[in-house]
Amino acid sequence: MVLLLQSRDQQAFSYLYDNYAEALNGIIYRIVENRELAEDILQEAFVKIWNNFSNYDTAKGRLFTWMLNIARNLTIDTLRSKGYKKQAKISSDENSVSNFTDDSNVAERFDAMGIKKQLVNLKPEQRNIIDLAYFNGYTQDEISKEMGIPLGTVKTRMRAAIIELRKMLEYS
Amino acid sequence: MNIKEIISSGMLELYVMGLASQQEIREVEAWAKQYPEIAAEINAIASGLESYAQAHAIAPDASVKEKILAKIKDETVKPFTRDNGDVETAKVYSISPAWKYAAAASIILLVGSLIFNYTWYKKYDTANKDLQLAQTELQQQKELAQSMDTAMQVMGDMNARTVAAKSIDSTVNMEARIYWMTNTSEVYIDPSNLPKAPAGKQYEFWAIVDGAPVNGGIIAEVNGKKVRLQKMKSFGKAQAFAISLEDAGPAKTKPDKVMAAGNI
Repeated sequence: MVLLLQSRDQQAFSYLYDNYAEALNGIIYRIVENRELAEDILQEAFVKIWNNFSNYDTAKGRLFTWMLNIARNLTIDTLRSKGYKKQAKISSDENSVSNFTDDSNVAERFDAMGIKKQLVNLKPEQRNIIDLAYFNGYTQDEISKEMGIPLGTVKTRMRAAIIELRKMLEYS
Repeated sequence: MNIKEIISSGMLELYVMGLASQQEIREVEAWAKQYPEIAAEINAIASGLESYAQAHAIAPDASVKEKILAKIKDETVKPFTRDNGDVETAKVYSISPAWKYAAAASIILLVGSLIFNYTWYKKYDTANKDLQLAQTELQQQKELAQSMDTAMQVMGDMNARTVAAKSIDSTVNMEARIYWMTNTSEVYIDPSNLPKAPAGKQYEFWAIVDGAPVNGGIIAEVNGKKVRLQKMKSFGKAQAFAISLEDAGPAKTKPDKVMAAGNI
């Protein structure tokens, strides 16, 4: 797959899109909270992924992580260039976290994907730290300020959250 | 740090999250190479987060995929070498978007200015050629007007005596009008009714003075056309004028073949 993409095989690219576009779109959407803008960025991100595929190194990690980084950085760049304020995002992120827990559609989707509903049962602070870092591309420093926890705690809190997340996945 | 310590440090999580510093990234990547357990742990973290991301998936509009595929089809396929260990990949330097736009803008400006310059140069060139053409034409017209002016003056002069030099051979239709100014002795000839001189030949003008021919000059021909009303050598007295056909070259002292003649 990676080899095909590196030889610029468009069919492989189409497959790549089918597998990851929804997840990337979800992440972009969570940051920008605007469907059209999210899709514009998604489009740009995939073109960038296509053009930069030669830079992807299987030894350095999973393909999705690499793609996510491209999509996330592009999203954050777009927001910054458009003069969006991070502050405004943070509060709505918190809202969306709580909304999310009540959102039965999302839970249904989890079922469809074979992921247990328990995933949604991460403690809010654990969800929050993952969301801020993974989805919003916050730095450790920003997370520390945002959550009002010492910088050293970010690391341990993050680890705890991910361990929890992995446990849930193992049960599923 | 041993493997366990590394795993429990939380650094791998930060690495996968993209939160690690450059220094930490280098460390983690070195560990991952060295210890398969670390690489597996990184993979597990990433996979966990990936599922988390998949859980938040939102299907984009179907048109997005079409747009992307259309975009990547548009671009010409660049030659590509895969990094297989013995081929060194070129370093990619990222350029800030502002500079990219500035560069793009300057290229557009450059191309624009080149096109502009070219168009204007073309226009200038055409205009310049037109001007030269017009000037040449004007010069020709001026010369023509001048010669006609002279002709009018000569022909209209009260002191002008007209002599028609007629063809010696009656089967040949040729004639030249000669205007002899009795007051100034100037001699003009209108050779426009002489046939074109054969190649390597030229017409010469003669005055018969006291029974002997005296050369009055070569009758000029420009581009196969005889210049109208030419001024020849002046003669104070003469009994007749004649026109001969001679080999091309300097004026002769004796006519070889007289073609036309007229008595005064």
